[in-house]
Amino acid sequence: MPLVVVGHVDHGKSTLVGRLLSDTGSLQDGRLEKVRRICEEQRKPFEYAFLLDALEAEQLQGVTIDVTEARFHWRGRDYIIIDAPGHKEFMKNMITGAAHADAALLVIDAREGVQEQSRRHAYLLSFLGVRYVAVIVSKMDLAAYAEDAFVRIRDEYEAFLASLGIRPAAFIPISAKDGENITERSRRVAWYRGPSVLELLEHVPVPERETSAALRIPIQDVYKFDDRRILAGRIESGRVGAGDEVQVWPAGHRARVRSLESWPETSHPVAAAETKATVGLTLDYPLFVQRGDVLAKPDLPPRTSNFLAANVFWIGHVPLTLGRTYRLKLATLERDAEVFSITRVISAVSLTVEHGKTGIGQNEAGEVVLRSARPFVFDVAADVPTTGRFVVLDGYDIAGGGVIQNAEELYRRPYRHGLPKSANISPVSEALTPVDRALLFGHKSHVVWLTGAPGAGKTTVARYLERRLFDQHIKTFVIDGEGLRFGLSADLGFTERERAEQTRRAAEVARLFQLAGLVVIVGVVSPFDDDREYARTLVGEQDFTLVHLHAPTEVLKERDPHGLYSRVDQGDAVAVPGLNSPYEPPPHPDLAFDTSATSVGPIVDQILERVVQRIS
Amino acid sequence: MDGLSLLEQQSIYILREAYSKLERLAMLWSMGKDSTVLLWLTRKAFFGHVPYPLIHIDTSYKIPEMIAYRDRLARELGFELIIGQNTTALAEGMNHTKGRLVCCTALKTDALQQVIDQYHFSGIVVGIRRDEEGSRAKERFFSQRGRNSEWDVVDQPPEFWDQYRTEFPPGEHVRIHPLLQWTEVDVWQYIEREQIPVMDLYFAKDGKRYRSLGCAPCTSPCQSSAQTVSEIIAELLATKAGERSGRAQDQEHTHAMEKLRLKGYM
Repeated sequence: MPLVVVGHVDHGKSTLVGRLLSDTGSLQDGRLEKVRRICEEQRKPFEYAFLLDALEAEQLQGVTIDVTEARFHWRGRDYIIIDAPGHKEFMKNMITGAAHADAALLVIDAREGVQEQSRRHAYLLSFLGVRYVAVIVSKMDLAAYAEDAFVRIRDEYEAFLASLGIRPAAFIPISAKDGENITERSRRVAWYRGPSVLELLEHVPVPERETSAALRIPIQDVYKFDDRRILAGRIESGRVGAGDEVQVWPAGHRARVRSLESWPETSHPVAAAETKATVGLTLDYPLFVQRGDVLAKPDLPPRTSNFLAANVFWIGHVPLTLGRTYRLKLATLERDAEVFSITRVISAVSLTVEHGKTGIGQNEAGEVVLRSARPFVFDVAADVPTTGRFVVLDGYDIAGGGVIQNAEELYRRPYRHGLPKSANISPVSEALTPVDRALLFGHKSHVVWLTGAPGAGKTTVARYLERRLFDQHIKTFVIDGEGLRFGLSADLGFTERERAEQTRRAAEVARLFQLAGLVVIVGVVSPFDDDREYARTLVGEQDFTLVHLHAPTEVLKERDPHGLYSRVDQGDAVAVPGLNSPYEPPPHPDLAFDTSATSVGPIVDQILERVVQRIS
Repeated sequence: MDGLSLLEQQSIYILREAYSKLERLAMLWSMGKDSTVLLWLTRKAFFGHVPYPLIHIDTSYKIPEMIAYRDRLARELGFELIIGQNTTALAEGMNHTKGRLVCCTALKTDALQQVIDQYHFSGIVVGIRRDEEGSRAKERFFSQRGRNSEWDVVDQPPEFWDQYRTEFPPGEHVRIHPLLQWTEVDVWQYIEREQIPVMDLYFAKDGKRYRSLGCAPCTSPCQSSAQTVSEIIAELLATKAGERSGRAQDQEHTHAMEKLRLKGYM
């Protein structure tokens, strides 16, 4: 059980750890004598802290500089105790220690009370996901073992911890110097009814390893030492066995696991491996795989996106700066990413939130969006913690850590027309969910996308469908291509590029109405398949119906609703898709109708049948 | 997964990270129990192969059995062995009577530095552990060293979520410590579990055995009757004597190890 001791500088963390090691009989011969000798040389009273603060600089200054780990055994249980420095300057060392702890002891000096680092360290514990926390009120001997000093600290700190979502398992008054409440319950604090420190430790629950069902193997390396081509990586989540089908992300190619290689060779080949195992796999198909790729099973794939939304804690000397590019390390993946937006900056001490900042300073936290030219493969930390976090490098050094947040709007956005040009924009989390809206409206949202050459009947079908839906009390709205050109698309003409842009805008608007919970009917020419597929991925496969309306050219010319065909005939330079400019008929429409052969009633019946099925 | 397996898997992960990220990698090999476990873990990590050279720093004062064992194993396993020796210092008569810290620095630290310079190594795998002594307890898995191998102990880079510092300015190198989290007992329990052959010097003869191996003049055996690995484990679980109590250089000064290590000692 790794256990970290944190808190403000000089509040007695190392002394507590030294005392624990001493009282549990975990010190080797001569260690206490050596410390006694050092203290005599320095003309100081005996310091338990020197058992941990072994560096000369630490002993001269009486302050812990770097993190130390010591192991001790107590009543049938092994503990790794991590002594972290409390000085603000050594925050990076504190994180180094606390990041792999399962539980934490927050130490507060009975006289000084809650200080800056008491708060910041608590914030970091919650950031790092250390869930089991107990508070140690130290140096009670210097506060005459008085209950009111203890109660004052408990009341103040409990409220602060609650705002971080931390509910401490206990508040324990101790004196490490006198050995009160370390092993046995102290008689000098008769007013205290709770456990001693070691009694508490005996009851710290072993945290359940969050073993998600999702298989994740970030590839470390590909070995070809002999005739085998071995993919090496550690299972960060899930388990894998010979014969399993896997996908390699971000490419998404599939293959089956042929074998799990191992050394020394045994008579029984390894059949399967679990989380935390470092494996070497061979596949049944020679896929191109490289370091940074992620192996997953097809049922629960990781996310891929050019964007990451994350909570970041910054320890770099130079602030994290909006617009700057940093190197990110996410499991074995490395990517350069730009700080695209800083949504908010949070003070880890006061928890106050500021918006509109252009940087995150040292020892501050914030929510950011990062973007990269090539996609990240990742998970939301709440789903798979080990592939849901990353570190940020500034130069050669790790300058920050990030925990990936859920930002559905950001991640599903495909990579079609490049990245947004505006800097410092951020996804806004929704308070109301699609489920809330569906419950109120009595139906889910949907997008019916009508594509076809001018005159194919998009507007007619759209209006008819709208009325039928409306009569059934379904919330609906038509987005008409022609209508957009009077407003949102007033700057667009009819070149191919402009028609593509018109389609993109129609898709984005449809997405907004869809989010509002409506059944959206879009009628735009949308001549290019790529643009229509963009709309499909933006809206989501399940919520999208692509309808192709078509008719013979003679019929279109006859209908000529906007006079386009006759203008071409008169020799005007106007581009009409399907006539004198490209129109790509959709290769796989969900529905397709020849509007010269079928009348609007039966067409709408068929569309309606499909839509009603999807939204109920 | 039990504690020993977790340690093993973590060490293998670290070795693979080092091999993947560092262009010129080598491993220090002293033939002791920790080095032996490291070599075993290397072969596990790379499926029977040893994909980087092993370096032995030969002070010329090593216990003779160690050298015989070294040459035999190198022959049997066929890995690349680099022997580093500070011949200049030896020619000038360097030995422990000139001061143990002076001698260690010349024959070990400087000899290693010469090898690093000669072969342009950017990473050296070393089998140190936190529980050996105070300054090692403060180490990182990937521990940066300056141009002259100096260790900036008061300003070490952060290291968390298994992300290590593997990039650094040219001329500097990094020490990789895959066994950092292991204890002496872990090492022996692993040797027992995996049935790894170790040198005879560790087993008691005439009531004495070596607990830690070094140079003959500065290493003394401890009282022991342990003749098998499991007897060694039982003995370690009962004793409170320090592992390195038989190593004279540790006792030279209050901060002897720290002083040696700041200059690049392993």
